[in-house]
Amino acid sequence: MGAPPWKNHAVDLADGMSAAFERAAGATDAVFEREVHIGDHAVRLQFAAPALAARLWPAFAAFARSSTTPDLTISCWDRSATGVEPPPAPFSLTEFLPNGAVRGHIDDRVRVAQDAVMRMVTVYDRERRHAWVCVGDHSLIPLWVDRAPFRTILRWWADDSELAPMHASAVAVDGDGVLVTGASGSGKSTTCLACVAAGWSFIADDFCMVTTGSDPMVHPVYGLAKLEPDALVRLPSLAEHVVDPSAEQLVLDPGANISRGARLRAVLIPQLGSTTKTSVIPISAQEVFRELVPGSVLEGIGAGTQTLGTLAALLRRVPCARLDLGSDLDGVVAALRVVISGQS
Amino acid sequence: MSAESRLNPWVTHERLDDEVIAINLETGAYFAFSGVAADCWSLVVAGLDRAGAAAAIAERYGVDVERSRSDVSQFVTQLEAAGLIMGEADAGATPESVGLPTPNGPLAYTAPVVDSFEDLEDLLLLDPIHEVDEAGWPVAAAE
Repeated sequence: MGAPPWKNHAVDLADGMSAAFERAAGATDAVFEREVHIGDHAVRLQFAAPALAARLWPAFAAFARSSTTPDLTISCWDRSATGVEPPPAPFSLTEFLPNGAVRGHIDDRVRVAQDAVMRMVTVYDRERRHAWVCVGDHSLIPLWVDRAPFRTILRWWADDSELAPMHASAVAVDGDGVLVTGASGSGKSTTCLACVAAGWSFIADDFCMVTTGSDPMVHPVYGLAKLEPDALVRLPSLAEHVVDPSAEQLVLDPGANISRGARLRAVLIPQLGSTTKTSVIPISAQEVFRELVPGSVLEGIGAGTQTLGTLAALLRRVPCARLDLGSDLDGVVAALRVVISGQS
Repeated sequence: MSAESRLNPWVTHERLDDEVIAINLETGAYFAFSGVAADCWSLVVAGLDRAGAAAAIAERYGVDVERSRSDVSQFVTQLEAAGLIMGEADAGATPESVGLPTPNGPLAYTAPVVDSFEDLEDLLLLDPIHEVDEAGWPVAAAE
């Protein structure tokens, strides 16, 4: 396979992004800088724009911890607010794939993605473990990004570690957790929110990391969850955790109920049932494998070399079940408790 | 020659029991193989040629080698057309070196097929509605 001619310039692009971030930092009053932990790793976040920090930091705030040696640094600036452009693109238009990847960049030291709608350029230097993000204008960022920023970077970074990103939600009780995955509308959020309302710990809404060491673990990345308005009708006790009740899109901040990680006891795929009772039906690991792959690997914009293997290793060790959801939400929580106890 | 000499370097794959998922990380296309197709995949990416893979499949499933040869050949042609494998087979590869999982009982034979979950053609080129900004990066075209 011949290397595209721009590959020789990829490190220059990373250097250019680094220099541009420094200029952006100089153009703002102060750089907002914090560290968070994901699994056993420290991640440093730097925002050279107060408005960007105000939007993107809250998703990580629950996991803030000080660290002097981060395993990953993400430096982000707003082109509109600072007047600082990213370096010129060293590739032609035909090298850009619709998913934001750049053809041929996957195995290289520098990975690049670009979102044409958000006008967001992302460059990650795997050797330096440093990513730079230039956002065209923070007002162009869709609201959902506030709950889960920098997913592409975190997937790239995880690909070089023992962490495997999963498109799944997760909750835990007494340090034992379940991964809940499946298509949109399958009842993933309802399942997890019912557990949180019952006092369980929140781990993840749609995105988390897993490890398959001596004991498979699930690790949180973001501390916020999306809340559909009808969820408050069924689970009114969650109202006290809503960040801004007047917001266009309701967001849940579980606060003290957030877990920093749990032993992974089961992988569940919910589906909406037709009765009040919730049933747990054991299914094969292959069935879950097919369900988890599209979201956990294909969304990775070129990441996923390790994820597929970790996913298979996980499913060989952790029981899998389909959750036929009943309308009685107390019954859903009771069913998950049985799953975690290993008695289902 | 490596144990996966025929695999496209952009393709990652994993086998879980009798199911294989293969993903082209560059294009996002992904493929699933089960049963005979999963065994065939494991043999082919390990470097066996069509005849070697067909003989191994015929023996494992207790079917006529001529039938196996025809089915395996078509399957390999589909893998090549999908860009999953490339290059020449490895003369040193053997079915024993692949280590196919031990079956729990008699295996049922069905002709191997490639299940694709993406249309490669749709993913390869940039959506033409995009324009370029001052720094040369694509941006969404104005409404």
